[in-house]
Amino acid sequence: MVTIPRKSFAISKAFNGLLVLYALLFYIVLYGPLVTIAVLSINDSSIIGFPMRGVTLRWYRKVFDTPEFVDALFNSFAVGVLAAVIASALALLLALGFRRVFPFKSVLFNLVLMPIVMPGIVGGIVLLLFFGYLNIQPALFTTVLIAHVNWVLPFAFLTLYPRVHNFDVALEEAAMDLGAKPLEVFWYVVLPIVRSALIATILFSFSLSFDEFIRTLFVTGYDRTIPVMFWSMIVDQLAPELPAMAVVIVLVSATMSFIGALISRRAATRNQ
Amino acid sequence: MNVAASMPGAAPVGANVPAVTIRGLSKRYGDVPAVSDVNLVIERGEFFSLLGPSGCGKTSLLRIIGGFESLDSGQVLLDGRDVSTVPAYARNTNMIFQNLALFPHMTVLENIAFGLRRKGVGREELGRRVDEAISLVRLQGYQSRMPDQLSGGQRQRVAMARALVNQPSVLLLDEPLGALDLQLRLKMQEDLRSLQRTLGNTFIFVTHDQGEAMAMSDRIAIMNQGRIQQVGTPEEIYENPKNRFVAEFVGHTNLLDGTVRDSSAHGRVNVECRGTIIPCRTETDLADGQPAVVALRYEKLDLAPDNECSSHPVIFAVVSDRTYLGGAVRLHARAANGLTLTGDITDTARVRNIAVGDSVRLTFAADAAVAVADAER
Repeated sequence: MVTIPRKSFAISKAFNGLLVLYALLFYIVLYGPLVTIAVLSINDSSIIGFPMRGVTLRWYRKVFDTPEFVDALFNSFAVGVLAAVIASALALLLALGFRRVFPFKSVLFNLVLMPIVMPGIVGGIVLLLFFGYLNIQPALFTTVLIAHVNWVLPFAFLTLYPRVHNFDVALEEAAMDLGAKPLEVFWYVVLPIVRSALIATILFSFSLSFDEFIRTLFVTGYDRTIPVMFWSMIVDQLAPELPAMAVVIVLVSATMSFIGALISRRAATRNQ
Repeated sequence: MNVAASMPGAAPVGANVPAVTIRGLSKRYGDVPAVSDVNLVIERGEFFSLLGPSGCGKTSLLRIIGGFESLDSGQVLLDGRDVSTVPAYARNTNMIFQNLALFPHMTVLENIAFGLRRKGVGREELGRRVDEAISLVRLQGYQSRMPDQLSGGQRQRVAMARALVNQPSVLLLDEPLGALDLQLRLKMQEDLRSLQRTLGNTFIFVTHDQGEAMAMSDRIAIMNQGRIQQVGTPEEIYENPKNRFVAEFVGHTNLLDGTVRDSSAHGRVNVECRGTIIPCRTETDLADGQPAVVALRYEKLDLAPDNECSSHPVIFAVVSDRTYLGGAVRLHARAANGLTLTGDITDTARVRNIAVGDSVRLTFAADAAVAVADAER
């Protein structure tokens, strides 16, 4: 038995107390603003701010009674789903391709990931100029969708690549050996094996698209996505339902990411 | 194994058409030749092994036959039909992959049925053939298991069934036993051989393990640096190596460099190695004065009997090393003229008293030494 001297025990106890304090502060900084918004969203007051004047859900009703919000929500869902599916499909093809050896592989690999380090505001201006030069009118399913695919793709690729990279080429060869044509190999062997990774990637991609603001602002047309609409509402008028709106947006985004994480973790444990 | 009887090995083709004919086949990867000018005929129903060190081109050759690699020049004929440009999925070959490549998301049954489903075989026939294949490899009761719930040997058998259920005219095996431990490996060798005998399919087996190739094959092709060095039965290759590489690669062999001295007798030559004349068999045309290599298997060496008169060649040497092998004792010995020989002596009663530094008289039967030309090919 080792006896711990009384003095050092006291020190370690004090240290533990500090550690708990630190962790507490950490999470307050991290989640404090979010909790504040959540609390404000149920404050029965037409001014955004404290003190609390009672609890109400009427701002939430107001949110869903706002046609601009519902339209924007629909737009964001439509663009989000399309961008996520398109970007994930492209990312899958890229990831499958990058398993092979070819000239300039690492250069091309890094080019795919480039948009991640490009500042959002520059990305937005570049897209604006690009579409202007090509004379493409800003609209939801042209400029905004392309901007979102462009933005989401490298992330989708980053999520899928490690999973697909380990995909054994011999499995594809075995399928081919057993009479499967290239598309059948993809459909019966490749796709089922990477399916959970792919679904997780689509969900992550959706969240990214759903939250995208800066690039979208530059290329948006008449139909606005949620972040763009939200931003203009803040600029125009500080409407009392804004906190409730924020909570709804956070919930949509977080739910998608959460399901994505769940699926990808389940797939990871199953592949052990 | 009466099940196997109802499972014919290959589609009936003209009786005398070889299963595989390879003509002038070459394949390069960039500047590196993988397969160089290979000509090979593999008969129907043969258990044929491609044996060689890693990087010798045996796997490339197998993959070209299976349609997984393109060829640069030459031809591959399966059942007499040129398939040089036919993709893998349209060839009547099936492959057992080195890592087996079982589909991890499918059950044993789905794995085995995969090939028949792709070919659109009807439900009834599919069920029957899959059942036959399953009983052939003794996997009854495992149909609904996933591959990761099987042992190594069971996975091996699933891979066999998945390939054989398609009744390929040629089964290609790419070192499928490499990952198994020795016991299981020997068991699977036996299983494979008896499966092949029962079904009568043509098997092409790639291995770098000469023991495995010897034990299983009807014929072996020894490959090195993309070229076939020798084709023959295990006995032919062991007893009559055609060149230095084959002699060295198969079995444990003394290789003695020397010069041809007397080539007058047909099939026999004397080779002088550092002044020692060694009488040899040969299948090569060797001329007097030509450099040659004498191949002398370790186990062909023996201790000369004590009574002097022996018709066999005798070499005086000093033991420089001694290794106990159980069934034999391996002696490394050096003659006065610098000639070094290694012999596995099975005469344990006599070899027991021999220690390092002792003088010994090594002998070998008149037909034990083989002379080959001193160049590959």
